Amino acid sequence: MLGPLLWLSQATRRNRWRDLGPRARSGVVFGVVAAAIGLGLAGDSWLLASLVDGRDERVRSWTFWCMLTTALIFGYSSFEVLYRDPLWRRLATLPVSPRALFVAKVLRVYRRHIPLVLLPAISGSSLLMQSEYIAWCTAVVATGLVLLIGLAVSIFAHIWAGESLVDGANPLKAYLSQGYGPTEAAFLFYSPALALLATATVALGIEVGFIALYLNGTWLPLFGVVFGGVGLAVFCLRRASTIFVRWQHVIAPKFADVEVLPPWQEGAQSSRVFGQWLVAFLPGALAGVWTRLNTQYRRRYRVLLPMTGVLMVALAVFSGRSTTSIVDVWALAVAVGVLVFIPSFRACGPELGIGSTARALPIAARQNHVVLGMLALLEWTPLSIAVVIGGLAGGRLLEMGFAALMVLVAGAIVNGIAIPACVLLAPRVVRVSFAIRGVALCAVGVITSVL
Amino acid sequence: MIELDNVHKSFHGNHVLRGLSFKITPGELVGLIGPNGAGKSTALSIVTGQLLADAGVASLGGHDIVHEPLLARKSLGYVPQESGVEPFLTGEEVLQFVANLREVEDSSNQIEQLLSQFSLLDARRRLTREYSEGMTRRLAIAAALLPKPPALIFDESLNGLDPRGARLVRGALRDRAAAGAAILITGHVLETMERLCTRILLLHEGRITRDISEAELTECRETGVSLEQLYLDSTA
Repeated sequence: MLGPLLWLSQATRRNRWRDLGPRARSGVVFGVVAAAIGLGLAGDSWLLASLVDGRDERVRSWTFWCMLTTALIFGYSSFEVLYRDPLWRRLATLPVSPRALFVAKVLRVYRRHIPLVLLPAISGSSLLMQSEYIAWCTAVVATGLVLLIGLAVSIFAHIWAGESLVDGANPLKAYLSQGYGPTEAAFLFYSPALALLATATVALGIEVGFIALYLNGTWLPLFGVVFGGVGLAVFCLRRASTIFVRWQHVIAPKFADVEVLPPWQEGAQSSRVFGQWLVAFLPGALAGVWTRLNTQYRRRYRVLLPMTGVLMVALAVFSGRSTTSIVDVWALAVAVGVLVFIPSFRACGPELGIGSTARALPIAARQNHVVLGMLALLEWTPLSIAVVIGGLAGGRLLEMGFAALMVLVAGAIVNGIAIPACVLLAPRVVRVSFAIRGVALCAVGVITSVL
Repeated sequence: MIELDNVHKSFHGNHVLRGLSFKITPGELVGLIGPNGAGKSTALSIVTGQLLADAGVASLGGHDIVHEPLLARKSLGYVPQESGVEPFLTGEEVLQFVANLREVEDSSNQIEQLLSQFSLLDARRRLTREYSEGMTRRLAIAAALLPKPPALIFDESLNGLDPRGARLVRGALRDRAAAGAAILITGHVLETMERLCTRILLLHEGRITRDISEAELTECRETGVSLEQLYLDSTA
């Protein structure tokens, strides 16, 4: 039964790519290549910065951050693939054996995340040019191991959290995966956090193994961590498989209960959403356009505000360190902004219907440009504020203030290109998002490298 | 056979189904009608295993959907409200996938036959995302009929069909019912339901408030009482 599922996945992928058409395909390839060049250049400047002094430590630190970054990404995205991929919804009423479905899900999770191994491979390409093959291979293999082990642990964590939704689940397990909050919170908050914690522990173990190897020349701790980790991965997958096969038919509908909320379950919506106060400064027609966009946007992407908070803390800590250069701070803030905070990619997509309703309603493209720009300003300003706070804490207010200003300038340029392009192409903005993000990351890499 | 026995379902204290029970036997073509929010989609989600009931039993082909999900789904052909057809497969590939998954024998011939029956032969090699709404519906219905399951459920699946398409589908459903399938259809176009179904169930506030048999439907037609009138009286 696994055969048709794998065929479905492969055929969909193939057809989706063919359907793009030559120009769009070129756009995607161009975006990916540009982003890779940018990442390579940025990594190059960061790694080369200390080739003379403390090089080994720098390379090790870079390897660790590559591992941790991948773990940060897949802790949540593996959950998305396991539970929210539209494919599973389409298969829900077909007679698919749970075992085959589990294997299909696991393969899909791994296939979607394997490209993350390109992060150390590309950002560390300068090591290859310096003939530092062992350091480069170490980083790639270490990140690959974190992916291999961490994804298995993540899959287990998500399915284990799912089992806690089954009636009569072990109260301790329910507590660990759900906390005291409502059941609905389990999937959204706790299992990705559990997955991240476990994966970060594995990454830390590998890091300790490397330190032991570098300092004492002993392989034993590293081997111990790797074999232990692989054993843990096998255990997690076996255990997850057992739970899934036993409870999938209950977990899936329970999850649907949580996800597909009938109108009355959502309750009355508060009309107060973040950014609504700006309405006071806008003329009548524009105020309506802003309320319509901002309200929908904030309700649909609720995760953005807490995510902004977390990223602000990380940026403030990074810019507050005395060893961090102004260019590194700027590059990190802009890279985060480019990857996460270009609102026009989300707002002009098919979900919020900005493009289609703009054609059906008397809304001028210029009005859409203005409100999307306001949204972008609301998303990029916190990044700048975080940099300033870091500068204040680190006693480098002037330097970091300048970096913060440059972050806003970069944000204005990127959004200035993205907004008209998205309004023009809505709702088909996925491809343009690839191209713009790729070029922007490339530019960040080039600037970082030159400075 | 499609059966719901004393099914209850509530969402955060709001009771949607209150002891819903009905049984559809082989050969019956039953329409489930009711006002918006009456619980039709919730009932179908429960009987297809997409939602769990708070209490009660739902079964397909004699198999409990919760305790024997695989066997129950083998008995089921289901077309959801939003069709659920893979957008990046061609029409032929969608049917081939269903045939492979359900291990349909002599699938090539049957696919050919269904594509022809539902006027999709010319579009067989086009991606389904390029299909019109009516074509997508016809394809989804063909995919549900392909394995000849003993239970068929259509959730407002006759919407969006042009008169020719609707006629094709009605004919196919009658044939399948005559061959012994139990068929459940929900919808709001009462005229279509009246013409197609051999029995109508009226769902109101989470329970069946009226079960109109084929004889009663015929009697209504003869006496000039429309299904719409019965519906309005029962849901007033």
